[in-house]
Amino acid sequence: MTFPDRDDTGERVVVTGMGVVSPIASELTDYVAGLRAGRTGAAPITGFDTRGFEHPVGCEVNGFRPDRWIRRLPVERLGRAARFAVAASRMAVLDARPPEETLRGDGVISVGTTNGGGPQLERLVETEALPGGETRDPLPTGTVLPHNLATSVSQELDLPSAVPSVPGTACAAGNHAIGEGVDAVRSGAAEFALCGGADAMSRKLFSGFSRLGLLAPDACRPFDRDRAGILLSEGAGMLLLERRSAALARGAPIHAEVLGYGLNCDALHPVAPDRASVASCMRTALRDAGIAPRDVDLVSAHGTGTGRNDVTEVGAVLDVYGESPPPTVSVKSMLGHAMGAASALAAIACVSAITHGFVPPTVNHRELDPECPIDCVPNRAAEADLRIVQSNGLAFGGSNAVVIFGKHDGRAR
Amino acid sequence: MTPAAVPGGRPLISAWSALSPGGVGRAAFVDGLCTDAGNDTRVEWEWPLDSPGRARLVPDFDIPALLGRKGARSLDRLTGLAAATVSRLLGDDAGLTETERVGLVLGTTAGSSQSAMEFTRQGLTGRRPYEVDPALLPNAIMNRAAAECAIRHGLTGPNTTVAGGRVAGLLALVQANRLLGAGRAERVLVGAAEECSPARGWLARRDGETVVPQGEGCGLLVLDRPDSTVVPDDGAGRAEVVAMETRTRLPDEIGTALPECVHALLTRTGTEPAEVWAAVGSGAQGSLGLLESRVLRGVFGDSALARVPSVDRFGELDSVSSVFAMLAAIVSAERETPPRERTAVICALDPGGTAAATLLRLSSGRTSGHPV
Repeated sequence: MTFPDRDDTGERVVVTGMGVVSPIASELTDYVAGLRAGRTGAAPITGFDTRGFEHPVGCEVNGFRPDRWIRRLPVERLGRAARFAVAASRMAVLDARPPEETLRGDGVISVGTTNGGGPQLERLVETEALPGGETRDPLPTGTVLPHNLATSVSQELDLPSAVPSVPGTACAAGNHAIGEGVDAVRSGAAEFALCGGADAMSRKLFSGFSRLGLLAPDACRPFDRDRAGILLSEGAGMLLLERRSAALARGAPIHAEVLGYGLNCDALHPVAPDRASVASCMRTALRDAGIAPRDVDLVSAHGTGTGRNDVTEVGAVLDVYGESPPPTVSVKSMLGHAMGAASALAAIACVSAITHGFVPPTVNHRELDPECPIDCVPNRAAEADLRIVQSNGLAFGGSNAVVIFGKHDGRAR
Repeated sequence: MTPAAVPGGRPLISAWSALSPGGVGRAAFVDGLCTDAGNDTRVEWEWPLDSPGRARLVPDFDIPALLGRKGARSLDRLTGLAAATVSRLLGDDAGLTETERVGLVLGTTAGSSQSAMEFTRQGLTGRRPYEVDPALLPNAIMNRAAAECAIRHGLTGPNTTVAGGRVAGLLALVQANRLLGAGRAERVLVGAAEECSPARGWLARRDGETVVPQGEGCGLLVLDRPDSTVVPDDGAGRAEVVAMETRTRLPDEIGTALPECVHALLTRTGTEPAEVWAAVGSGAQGSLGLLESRVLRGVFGDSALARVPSVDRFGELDSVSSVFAMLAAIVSAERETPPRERTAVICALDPGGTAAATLLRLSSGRTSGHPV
């Protein structure tokens, strides 16, 4: 089968608003400061009963006040991930301040997730499975449904005509959502896209990753010789995308341009990534963005910090970029792995890196794994004038999504 | 929204298959739709709690028989239903051969709630919280079914799972249109899958809804660029996807959302209600179903409502309901004489507050295989 080349007649797409709820900060300005400072969110987990786990460490959102952002919907009727998604969406809209008529018109709300309302389902199972569990008072059953993530955003912000989409594409879901927004805005089908991802701390996933030996005992060390795995995390990142022409016409602040993206599926293994397929996805994204590998200044890796992911992903980066790839960092070293929110949080880090002229570091770093021969910008942020940044998202099931961001060449913020 | 133009015209549904309470495959779906699908099966489930329930199961659904023994142990029912439906598309029902860069968009309610709950329970009741079966972890994550379809059948295009409750099938169609229109794939398999399970029944009862028989199945449409369809023209009906619309209001405003959605769709496509040959609901049960019928009857009249059998005969189908409704419309149109193009509106609604609708232009393969 053949594919059309990038459609240059399509509209260019820009990021005009961003909202973030994360373990290192629950507001954009503080998030950027945290990335620059190399802050980490690692701490003992409090979100579920951790008795019996050997290393119950993760990255949780603290000090988040949903009532600051959620006004129309009763907060107590929303699950934790939905609260994150709604709050981050309101932040993004407040940041971009699109005209009312834009928000009432055709749009896309796309909130990627791995686990959706899973944490509430876990509470429900506890009522049945644990002694005395029937006295627990879980959230309403409806909150287990993942599509609440998007419909709650629509309801809270009064966006009735926007398609409420919840890509459940596991740990690449945030990038899938951004890609959906790019297509919808580029083609003219939507006036705006509010897209990103959200997930909340989950005992079910913690159990599973623990059993698979994927969890680090103390810290996430991507590309390190002694890396031991991921730290499970949570949060939400939402980006408001608009047509560049519309944003310029209304004098909107423009954070960056989304140059393009790529999607594919390894179709090989339920959990292990495939080097050739990941490389192919990156090439697809570069082609969609209309750029060559030499144009890219920074790669934000999926970079989970597991043995297998990092070797496979770095191998794919080398396949695409040759022996001297651009600096390749993992913000998961700071944020942990926020599942469906991960690539959305990484996207906001990439855009902020372009806007504010720095490379977020790979923290907790001690010694580079010789099998990961890249510059991971260890431990300290670097000042840099970045024009183009690539953001990788890989998922269980071999579902890959890579997004390319570029400096806005008009009125930069 | 109007689907982005794809080279050669609008996206075209060129073939389909389904596993339904009517049976395995396209012919069984047609039989089940056109005859009474039979009686509910009373199912005794062990967990969660004592969950006896009535269900309309896919008859003769046996994963090893349909998919082979290899890896069958780790497949949950939902994944098996989806993977077996893709097998049908690659086999007798559509004869697809090419799978490279073919995309898949699968609508769901929440993946397999049964698998997620069982996995959670293992971690709560075992000696240690991490004593869970690692092979079953992927089943506890929503994209398992779509990923397994890709792995079994070599579908290397975009692999997407869309959670959307009772409107999931139509939301999946939005995604598939987008992927095709943006050139992300040249062909997309699109639909939804839902399994009967004690967990699903348990959750539905907790919501305090009337207990209705659960239905299950998987329906997948082959969505093509009109100039690139390679499915042999065997006289089966086709459908052009003209436009999609959604409206989301607060849950208690769903009665407003549905008529708004339908009217917006008609306005967007410049369609008068009288031009609509069939108006098809999602076979919702209880008050939601009454609302659906009342709104459609009010806009389109009795005759448009009567042309396509309701998929409620298959039980409560949740995420797969609107997919089966589209299939029912295609099947009904291909039996009409004289063969000509007919317009159908398919809608669905979710108690969470979302209504969705699509306008399809149906044609019989006998007359116009490639409408432009």
